[in-house]
Amino acid sequence: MDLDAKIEIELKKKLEKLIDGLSSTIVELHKKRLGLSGKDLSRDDYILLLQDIRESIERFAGPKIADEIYDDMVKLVNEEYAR
Amino acid sequence: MKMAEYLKTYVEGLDQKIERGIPKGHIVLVSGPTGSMKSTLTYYMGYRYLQNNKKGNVVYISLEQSRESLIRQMVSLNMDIEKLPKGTEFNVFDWGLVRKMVKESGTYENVDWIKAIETPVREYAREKKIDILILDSLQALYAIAQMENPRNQLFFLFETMRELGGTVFIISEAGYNSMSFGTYDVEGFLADGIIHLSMERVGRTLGRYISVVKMRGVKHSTDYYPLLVDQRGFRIVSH
Repeated sequence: MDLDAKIEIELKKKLEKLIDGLSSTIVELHKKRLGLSGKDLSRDDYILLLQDIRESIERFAGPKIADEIYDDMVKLVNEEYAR
Repeated sequence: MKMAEYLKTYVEGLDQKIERGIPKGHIVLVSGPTGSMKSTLTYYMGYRYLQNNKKGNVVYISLEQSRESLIRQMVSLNMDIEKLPKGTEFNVFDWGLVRKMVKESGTYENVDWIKAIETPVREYAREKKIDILILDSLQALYAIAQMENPRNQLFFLFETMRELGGTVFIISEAGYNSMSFGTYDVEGFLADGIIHLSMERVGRTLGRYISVVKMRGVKHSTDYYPLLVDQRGFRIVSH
């Protein structure tokens, strides 16, 4: 599995817990807003995307849940890019 | 046989009018016109439940009012979820935001909104016991969901909520002077309880009133009582 797929699957899985099947729609919307659609994402792109999604989750469910998802995802991104 | 447990409304004076309280696990409609404080009252019941029990979990699903605005409004009424005891959780989920984002993505019409909202709540309840679930509001759900067979869809929606095990408060908008507690005239039949908030103009004042119209399994008064709210909370003026 390529890196992008692995990170995105994990991100969508985490968002599914909050918004079920809408997770893909929401991730794609954030990528579009940031001009990242269809691009191979760098580590910095992912961090930017995660920050943007974190903001939306905070508005949706509050800072605690937003931080949990953000922290877990940043950890994963850093681990994957360190390999 | 396991004894039923009960929830208080924490509305001063009203709990004495409901034999033992609201049986836990009941689905209760909180119905009333705009401005009758349906959202505030249900938030208050959840807030005071956590404050008094010092443990537990309340989930508030807002389909229209933003989380930020709702929380700000409740803080102004002395209900700051950040000040609740440790070991309690009051989670507010802002589905209005998701609606806006999905609209922006252009896929709004393809979404099964009832499933989209129901599934994460079910998943959440599998991980953490939900003591109180609040859905605000039924009419907002009707506005986004395709209600082709309301009686059937509402039956299954209520049953899904019942399976969660917690007590469910469903906010339902009704007209002024209306004795209909929902949109399709079936909501009241399907619910285990109905708390009706009404408003009446008395001279130059608009008074608020509350009645427990229905509560399966407990004796209760069906009288309408003047309802007052201030920084200390809700209370009724008893006859």
